[in-house]
Amino acid sequence: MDIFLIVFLVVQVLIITLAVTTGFAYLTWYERRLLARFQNRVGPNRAGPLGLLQPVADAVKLFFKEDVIPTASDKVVYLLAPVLAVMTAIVIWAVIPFGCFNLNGDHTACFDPARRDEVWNALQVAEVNIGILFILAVTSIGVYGITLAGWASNSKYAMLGGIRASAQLISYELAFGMAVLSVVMFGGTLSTWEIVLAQEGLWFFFPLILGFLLFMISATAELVRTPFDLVEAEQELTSGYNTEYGSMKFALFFMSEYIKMIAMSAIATTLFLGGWRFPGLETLGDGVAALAGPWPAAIIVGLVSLGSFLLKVAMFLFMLVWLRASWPRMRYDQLMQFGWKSLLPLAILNLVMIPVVVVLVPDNRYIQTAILFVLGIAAIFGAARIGGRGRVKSKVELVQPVAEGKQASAASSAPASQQTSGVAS
Amino acid sequence: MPPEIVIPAIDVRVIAPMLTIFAWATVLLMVDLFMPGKDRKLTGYLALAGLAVTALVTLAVQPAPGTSRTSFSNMVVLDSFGTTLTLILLLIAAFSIAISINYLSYHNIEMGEYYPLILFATGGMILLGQSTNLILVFLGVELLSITLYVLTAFFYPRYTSEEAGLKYLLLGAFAAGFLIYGIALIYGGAGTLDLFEIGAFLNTSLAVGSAFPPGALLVLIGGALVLIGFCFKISLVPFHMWTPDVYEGSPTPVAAFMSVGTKGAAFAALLRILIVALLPFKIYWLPVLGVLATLTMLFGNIAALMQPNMKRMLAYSSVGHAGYITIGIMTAGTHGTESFLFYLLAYALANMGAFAVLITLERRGEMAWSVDDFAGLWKRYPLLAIAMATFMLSLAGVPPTAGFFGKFFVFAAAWEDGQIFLVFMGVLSSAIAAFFYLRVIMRMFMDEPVREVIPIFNRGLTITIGIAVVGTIVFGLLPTPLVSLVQNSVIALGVGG
Amino acid sequence: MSFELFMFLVTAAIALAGGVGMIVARNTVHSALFLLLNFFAIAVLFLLLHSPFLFAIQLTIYAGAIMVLFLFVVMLLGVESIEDRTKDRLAGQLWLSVVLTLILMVQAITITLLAEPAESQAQNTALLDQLADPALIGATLFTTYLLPFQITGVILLVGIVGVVVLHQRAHLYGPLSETEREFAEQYAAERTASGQPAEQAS
Repeated sequence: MDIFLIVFLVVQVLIITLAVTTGFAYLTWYERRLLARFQNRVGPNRAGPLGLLQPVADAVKLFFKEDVIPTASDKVVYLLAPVLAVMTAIVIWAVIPFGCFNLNGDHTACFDPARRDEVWNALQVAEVNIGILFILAVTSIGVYGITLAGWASNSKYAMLGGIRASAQLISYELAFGMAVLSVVMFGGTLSTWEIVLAQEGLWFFFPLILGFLLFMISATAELVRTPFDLVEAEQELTSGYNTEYGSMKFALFFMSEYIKMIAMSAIATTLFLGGWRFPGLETLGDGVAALAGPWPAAIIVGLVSLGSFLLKVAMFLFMLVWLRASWPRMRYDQLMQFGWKSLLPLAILNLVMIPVVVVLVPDNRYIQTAILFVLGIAAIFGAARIGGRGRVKSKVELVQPVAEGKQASAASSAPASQQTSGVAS
Repeated sequence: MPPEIVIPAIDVRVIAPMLTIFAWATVLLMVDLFMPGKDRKLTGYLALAGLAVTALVTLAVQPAPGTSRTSFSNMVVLDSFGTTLTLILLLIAAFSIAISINYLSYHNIEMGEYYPLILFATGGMILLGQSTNLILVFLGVELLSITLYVLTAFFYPRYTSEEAGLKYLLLGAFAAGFLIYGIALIYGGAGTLDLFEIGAFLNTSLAVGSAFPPGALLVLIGGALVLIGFCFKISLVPFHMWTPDVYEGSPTPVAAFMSVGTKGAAFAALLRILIVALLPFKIYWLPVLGVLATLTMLFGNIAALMQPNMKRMLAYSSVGHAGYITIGIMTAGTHGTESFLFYLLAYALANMGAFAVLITLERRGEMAWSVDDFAGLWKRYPLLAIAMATFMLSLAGVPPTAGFFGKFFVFAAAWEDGQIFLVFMGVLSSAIAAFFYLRVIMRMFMDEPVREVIPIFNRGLTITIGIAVVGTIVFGLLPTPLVSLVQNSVIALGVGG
Repeated sequence: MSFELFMFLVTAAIALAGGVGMIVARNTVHSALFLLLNFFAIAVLFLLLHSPFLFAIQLTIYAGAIMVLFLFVVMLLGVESIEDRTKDRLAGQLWLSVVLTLILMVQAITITLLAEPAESQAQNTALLDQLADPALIGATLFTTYLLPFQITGVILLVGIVGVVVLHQRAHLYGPLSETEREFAEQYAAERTASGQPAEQAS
């Protein structure tokens, strides 16, 4: 039995790894098609129907490229970095419940927190009592891949990219962690499974609207995607930390980024959108059980929950692509200012707000939700107002004194002074 | 669902003094943030007010003589020893702030955070004096140290200040390593961090078998490491190397604050650990402390003898005084505790006063503090010279100053305890010390001025020097009220919760 | 040999290798990475002790926060290998460290041998599982250890204020003025003359 369990676990892990890797390949296709739509283009459509074979073609291309290792690089660390990056991206999946397919053949146990021991879930690898902390721990380790790649390449662009990345990831990890903690507070548990179950009849999106917003912003920053993608800002840094990587090693970084993107969407789904839950799922299971017995019910619940989970993940992925299509990149100082001076205070406010409301309004989740929702919306709008107030409207005013100085020194040349005043006005 | 958490009943009175000072410091940080202009003197005055309020709170919650209160799962105790110590520490902090208010702006290092940091450090000292749990002892030491790392490096453009901050940080971290490792070993041996329970554990485990039980052995090793950690903090020879450099580099009021405050608090915590937890090991720690005290007294005073730099001289003299205080700690079972408190107060008055005089003579952008500046002070500023002479005499232990009675009580306690050799060494080193203290007096009264020095007076300095002089002389002439105060403070020390 | 013991031996070996590698490595970044390896191994040891909570905390705090900052500083300052490590600046420190390590090992082994035999394995495991419950850890933190917990908060506050103060000074007062630079140079010269180590007066 023990051997069987271990084999089962290995198979489970293999399937999930393969699935997320394939998911990565098709996410690139998804993103490119979507971006093309946003930009009024067609996108990849030649390889196979709808361009569906494009990822395969890309993979083949990357495989056959020459594998170069820069001579001045630190070889071991250089090779270690992409491995670390992919590893952390994949390991996160261990604690995420994709659905509930109870191999004991009883779908009702899926919906009852008290009957956790009766659930043998084929759609979650490891159910630990600290799933959330595990996610936080692994995300915090994700920095190493990028940082070390930047350092080991021994190249200026890569180095700058790596340093930017570590500063950015450290800064946004705080807000990220605090946003996740708000879920832990409201749900009262650190286990991902129990958090999904706690969202019965009420997705945490509604009470934790502020936490959700913070989570999405900081998750985007953790993923180093636009508008926070200055780690690989091609105009300044060529390609950032992965400048010196080619062939499959580059593909590994690429892969880790997109797998992390799916993982973040999955985490957001689990924490805020009820995970694999879907309205009416339990009723459906009961109906099938009444008609065809417990095993078909378990299978149907498993499939529908998996489908609902994937649907929600796809929605988040769409949002991330949408963000990329519509936002310009931030400046580095803006990024730091935003992270430390806007996001972090809001996250702290969020953490203070929730327990206060939960303690003052006891025993009614829905009233708590209403109050928290209103407070959250108010906080978001308040923050937006305060944040927008101090913005410098026009950079020209700042330039003017310098221009005047130049004007004074170059008073003899009339065309030059005319030119400067022209710029100033 | 998570289990219901029932927070046990809390006696807020026990932590009222440090609660007040922490709360005041936190609020002061915010107030300072919104204070307009660059002038930060108001923050200083508010910090002084906070100390006064804390003193009132301390007096309001002080337990009846001979009783004590514990709370927070017996982690803190409020006894009259703690109360007296808290009051002394508050006085030291008040002196430090009073002499800082104009010093900071004069030297162009005025930042409002200075005062809350001093308050936080004082809170850490109060915590050290009250804690009966090794976790809290460690946290107190850390709170105190981290604050002082920042304060020592506060003198921005001065390289020595940065150097001092870094040295203090590195050695402090090193010492913290010893301390925490020792605490871990004690926990491994005794299975508890509570001082009373450690004491009880040692008593039972040593009473059972004739051989040395492994648990007690662990506690012994751990206790030794804790002692080393504390030796760094109170700068006993041979763990004193950092002291002169750090005192010289840091802003003078911070040096004054460190020289008395840190020592007093760390000694108090050490006293509690030795008397409450490690009393069964007295046969082991007594000789060790004796050797350390002897080395410290001799070395500190001999090194001070050769210093032309007043600030370094005072630093070495503070090393020497740590030796005398150690004698008080060693004999804590009998009259040591009271002699410790008396000595601490006398030393605090004289030392704070001496540093205050040093500040009046300190020039902007200068790092000399030469003894030459004191030459001929009598002829130009007789009152300042008399004040300095009083402090020097008190530090040297010459009657009729408070310092004399401090030394007298310490030596008397040691004599009573049978530590004849220590008394002898103490008297010998006092004789050495008298040389360099008297040399300063000689230069002030006999010599001609070497160069023009214009002292800077302001209200804070004047009041500090005034109080210090009056205190030193009054307690030197009439020690009785103070003696009765410290005698009352001792009784509660051994009482367990 | 049970699976658990096997895992323990492997992890412990990795932890030791990480520790030794950290000291031996010439390159600061390599040292940091070896230390990271050590942290990972210790996290796994916590897992073997049935404490996933400590596992996650160890990873988040040591590997995820502290070491990242170390690496960040090392990279930012570019101090991977500025120092010539071939020459021992403190003579004999290698042998002293070996002797001290041996003493520590002897101490640890003695204590392990002297300690009273543990109760039955199963009972211990059950106790461990119970102790590892994060809710219990939280409850203990908020009841028995309430005061240390709060004081830690004060220490962190002081740390933050300290960092801001030390950083802000330079911004408030700018670089050294001419007189201050002169004083610094004069002071450095004095120190050199008196035989004390000179400071950089730049």
